[in-house]
Amino acid sequence: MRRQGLHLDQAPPLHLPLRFFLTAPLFAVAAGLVLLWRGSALLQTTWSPHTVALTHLLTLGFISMVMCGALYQIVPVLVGSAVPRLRLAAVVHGGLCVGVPALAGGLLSGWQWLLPVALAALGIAWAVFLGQLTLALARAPSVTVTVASIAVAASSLLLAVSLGLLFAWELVYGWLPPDRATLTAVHLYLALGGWVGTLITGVGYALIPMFYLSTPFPRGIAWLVLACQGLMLLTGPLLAWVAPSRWWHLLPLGLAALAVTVFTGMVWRMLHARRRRISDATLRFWQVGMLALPLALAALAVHVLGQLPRWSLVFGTLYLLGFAGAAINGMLYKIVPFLVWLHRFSRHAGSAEMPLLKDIIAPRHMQWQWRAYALMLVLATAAAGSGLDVLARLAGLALVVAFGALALLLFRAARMKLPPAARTPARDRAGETAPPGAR
Amino acid sequence: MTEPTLDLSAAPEAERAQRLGAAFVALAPGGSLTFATPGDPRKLVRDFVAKQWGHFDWAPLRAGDGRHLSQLSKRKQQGPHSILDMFGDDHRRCDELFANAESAAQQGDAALAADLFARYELGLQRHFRMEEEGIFPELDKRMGFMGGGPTMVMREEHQQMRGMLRRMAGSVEQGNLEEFLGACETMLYLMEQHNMKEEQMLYAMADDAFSADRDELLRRLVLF
Ligand SMILES: [Fe+2]
Ligand SMILES: [Fe+2]
Repeated sequence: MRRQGLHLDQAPPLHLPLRFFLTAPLFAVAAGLVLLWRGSALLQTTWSPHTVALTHLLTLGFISMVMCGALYQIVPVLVGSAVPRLRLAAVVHGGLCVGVPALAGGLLSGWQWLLPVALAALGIAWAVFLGQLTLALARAPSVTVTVASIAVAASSLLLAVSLGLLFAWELVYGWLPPDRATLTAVHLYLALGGWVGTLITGVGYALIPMFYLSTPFPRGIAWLVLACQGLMLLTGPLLAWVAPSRWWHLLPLGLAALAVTVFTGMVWRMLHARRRRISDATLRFWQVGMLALPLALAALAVHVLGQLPRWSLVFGTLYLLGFAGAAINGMLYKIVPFLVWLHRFSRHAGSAEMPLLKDIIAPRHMQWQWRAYALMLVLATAAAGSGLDVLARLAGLALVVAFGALALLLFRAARMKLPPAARTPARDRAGETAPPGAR
Repeated sequence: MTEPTLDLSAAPEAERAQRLGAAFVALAPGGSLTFATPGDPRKLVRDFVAKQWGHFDWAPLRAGDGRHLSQLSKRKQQGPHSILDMFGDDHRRCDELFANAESAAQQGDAALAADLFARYELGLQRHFRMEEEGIFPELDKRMGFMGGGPTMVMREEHQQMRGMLRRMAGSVEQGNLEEFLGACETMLYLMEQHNMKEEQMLYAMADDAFSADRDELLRRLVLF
């Protein structure tokens, strides 16, 4: 059945992933504006509707938006089967673009009529996306650890979204699900640990060695990480349901800690011993992500074992902005310039006037944006930990600046055209260096 | 960077095969040696294919100027058993040559960067020819692609990479290392996404198509 893997030329058109990548930072900017406007009122408890609006601008609007666009691009190569009905990606994008503002707006303003809009738009978007992804996964020619990780992420997304829709439904129509706190815990396990966590690790196994020419991620260790993640995703929700003493939560926490330690430890080693000695902003983003992940988990442990609600905010900040946000920001700097280059410039690859990746987004611009990002992360973590109003508003401002700069750089990259001077046909260099007797 | 561990340029032609054979026997599994010959070393390699097939890898490092440099290594495990094995390994080898040239440029050593780039270019051009002349035409025939299909996409990307090689060569010859490094980065992504597509899909398909006469094909490909 190998023939199904023949989709070498089934890469999506440029506009498809770009529309996801270009809109995503705008939602993070919106999150920053909300934080700037409301200040520390958003940082009291994780459960206020306003805080939920803020987190979903980041999780759905930024993180999931990018992950969807990236999956359309890389599934054909990483999984080895085509994504069916690619055109429907526009529906997914449109659904998120309507659903996320409707959800956030409804929660922030109290205008109830916005929530059914969000419910419908997000429901359609995720149904279409999960349908496409499931079909692509079902046709995978072989089950690699990356394929298995994407499958775990997709299943988690399905359940997390179902619960999310249930919550929105309950807000509008008042039908009360049995135990809101338990279901919320399950939602968080699946959305953050399953969808975000497993997807990033699963894709990282394949992409990190490729970008940095490091040794491959050892397959056995990758399966071990995935096994820990899988067990964590089973025991966590189950224990939340059964609700025994809080010490039981050490079990899923321990599994998460094991997965995180092994994964980050391995990535650090691979990056350290990478054959490619270049350090750039994207490497910094990965490194900060690998640093923030264990710290996030430590904050979560303090929250669960010490019953200190404020630490759940620290966890959320470190996990969403420190780990996922940084990894995604770094990935965008790799993937967006390359896609623009591949689609617009690669045919003129021999010409000396043809722009290179460094001309599409200048490394020093990435460097500046990286600094803004790092400052934002420090401010946001301090704001979450302290609850101080001035810090919260500063963090909001920093979010606007860091993601605004990212959006600007990505937009400029997407608008870049081939300079007229570069329109010379690429000549063939083959043969010039061919050793004699080779033919 | 690597001085030949074995210089056969002065040795009489009749002795070369024997001296190379002895040096190979002395290698530890996983070890490798570079050897210099006054002309094309493929006659010696043909000998190796006949006697040592499955136990060695060979690749040219420098050609021309009447002095050839190549690398002979002793495999840890017997192989290659498949196209994926052989070409996946050669991708890693080209990656390594690329990284060496790039880091020489990063350290500002223009002469070394130019020398190492030449090795990379030789290795990659050979890899392309192994695919374009050794595999694709027969694969197209067996799978009925008729000049379209996945091999066409691969050929197009080879052309793009050849264009990048030309640009890299131009900048490193002029000693413009900043431009060279910029071209390196672009080349890396182009090369890696290409290799990934081949390793994930194309080679598996080729291994199926050549399942009956694969070993014979691999023996032929080494000599490219
Ligand atoms: Fe190729
Ligand atoms: Fe190849």
